[in-house]
Amino acid sequence: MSAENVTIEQVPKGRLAIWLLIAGELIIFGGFIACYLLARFEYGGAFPAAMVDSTGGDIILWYWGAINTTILLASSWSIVKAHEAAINNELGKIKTYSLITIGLAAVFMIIKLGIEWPHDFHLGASLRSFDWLPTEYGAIAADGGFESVKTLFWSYYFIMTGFHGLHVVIGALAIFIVMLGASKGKNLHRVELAGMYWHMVDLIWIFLFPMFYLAQ
Amino acid sequence: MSNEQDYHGHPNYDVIGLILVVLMALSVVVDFVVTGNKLLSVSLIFGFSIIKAYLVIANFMHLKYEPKLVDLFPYLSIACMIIFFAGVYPDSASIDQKMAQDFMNLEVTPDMITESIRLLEHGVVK
Repeated sequence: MSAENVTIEQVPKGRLAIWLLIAGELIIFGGFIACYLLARFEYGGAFPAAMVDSTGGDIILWYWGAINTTILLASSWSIVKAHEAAINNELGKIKTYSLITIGLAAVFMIIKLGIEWPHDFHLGASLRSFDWLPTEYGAIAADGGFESVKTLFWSYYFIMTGFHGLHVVIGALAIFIVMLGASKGKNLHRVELAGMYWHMVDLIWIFLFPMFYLAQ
Repeated sequence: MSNEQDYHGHPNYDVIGLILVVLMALSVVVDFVVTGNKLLSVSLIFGFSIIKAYLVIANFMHLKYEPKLVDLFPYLSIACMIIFFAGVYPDSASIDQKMAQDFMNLEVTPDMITESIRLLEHGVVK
């Protein structure tokens, strides 16, 4: 059967289900990104100001983002190689490439939670809500709103990168569970399905990286 | 895995992976080199991201080998984001302008000052 002759009815149900899951995830992250961009355009000056500390140095360091992007791209490559190994019934290679992917996911999370986030908080990233004064219109921020908008930036940053990190953990767990069976020759088609989910995780980071680390 | 399920082709994953890393490096270079023209640098950086996303979807996720109907799953989701943004942005921008105008025209009343002092005394604001 060649790809040109395949109809929608012939696409395996598992693959269609994963595409449906991916579509849902893309809508969730698409909503996050759209809201972030709305806020970014509204409060143009305060968002870049939130990203520097009191001495004017960058809080978010581009090189950690670049390293993590490279790690995720490498993990996408390794999981697709695991899929290739599954097609060729190379059980040992499935295990090797899956473990490489899981290892890269672990490094990604260590950098994110162990290095980047503590660094961000240490240099002034804040999630605290600021003070509001009552007015006849409702309320105004005690500082005119600037600090509140800076906090808004960090809320977006931690929620979006945190939610993405959660997907990294879920994806790595899925790959591990699939690997346990596939390395014994069971349910080899699931290697591709877990891989598709993993590529979606990579896909989202491809846009989070320039949004938060570059193009400010 | 049965041949029934593996009807799609397998591009050279090593080359695709290398292209993705090169595009990521180019994004970083553009951010540092093209500093004079913000619009150009942002366009290039997000242009590279779109190319990277296409390469991942088409090759690693094998979408280019699937029937055209499957394309609807990712592309409709992305369209939802664009429609949401395009629909909300004009209202969001006009509301923001109104609030800014109200803020500029705000007259401080004695009650507001009294309340502010009370909040300061109770340590609610600093």
